[in-house]
Amino acid sequence: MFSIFEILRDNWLLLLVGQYPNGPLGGIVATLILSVLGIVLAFPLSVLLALARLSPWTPAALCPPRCWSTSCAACRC
Amino acid sequence: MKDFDLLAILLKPEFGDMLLHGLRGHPEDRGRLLAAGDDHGRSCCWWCGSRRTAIAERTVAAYVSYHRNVPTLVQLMLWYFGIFSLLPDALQAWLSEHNAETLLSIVALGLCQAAYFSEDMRSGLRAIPAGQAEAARALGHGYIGSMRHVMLPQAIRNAVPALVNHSVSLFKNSSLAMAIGVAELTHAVKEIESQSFRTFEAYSVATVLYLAFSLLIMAVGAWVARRYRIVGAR
Repeated sequence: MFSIFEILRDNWLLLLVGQYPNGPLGGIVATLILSVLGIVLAFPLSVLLALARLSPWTPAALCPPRCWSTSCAACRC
Repeated sequence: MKDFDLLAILLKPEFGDMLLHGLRGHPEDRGRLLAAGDDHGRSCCWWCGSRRTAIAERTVAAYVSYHRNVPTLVQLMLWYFGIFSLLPDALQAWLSEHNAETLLSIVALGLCQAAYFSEDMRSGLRAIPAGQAEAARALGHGYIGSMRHVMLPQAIRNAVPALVNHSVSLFKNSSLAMAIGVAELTHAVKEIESQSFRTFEAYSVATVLYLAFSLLIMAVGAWVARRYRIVGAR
């Protein structure tokens, strides 16, 4: 049990920032940076993906040649 | 039950033709029927509906399927060892100077998590009654306006618990970045373990730290969900 505290006491800087400033940033700070930037990238992209999946929009070039309704919201043709 | 013989139906030529005819259908007839019965701004016909889903929906579905069904570790490896080598030389050099492992891990984890988040957002959007979108249109909002001011704020509120869940998942999956050389927490713990030979203690420290930060993310998520909950929601 005491070894855990010894490890924390002896290596707290390595656990916190890794080898920085003598090497790349690491430790819990790098983990948090990975997580936060991952979420920052993922969230706006996910909104666009969800809207794309539910969107009624279709490019005009892909509209079918003939449509049977005047109120078709799916293809706007 | 003893008279049940499916093959007798399927193998009889006239029944087979009838079934195939029913499966194939007539887009023209179906279109006319739907056009007569559906004037509420939905897809008017089978043809339009199928063309609509063929583009955006199927592309996103393929994206989501790839990211959900391929292990995150393999995706990280693909980005670091595969896609990185296909990039232009100048970009490779720039990435190498600016900690390529970390940047590519962020891209790989972000794109992977976007697939999960998009499903959460989709469920959040689908949980909103259709009347909300119609009311926004009636107030004069276009598609973008109704999404921005009416639909998305509610969808995000609906999706907060699932988004928090997947954020914790992303936090835990960040440990996989160790495999491509990112010196994150698990890497640091492995280093401590190889220096001290105290395996149990070193990984206990990692367990406590991961648990503490995961619980912190969950607590923040619970606070956000409580603070921005939809009035009247259970």
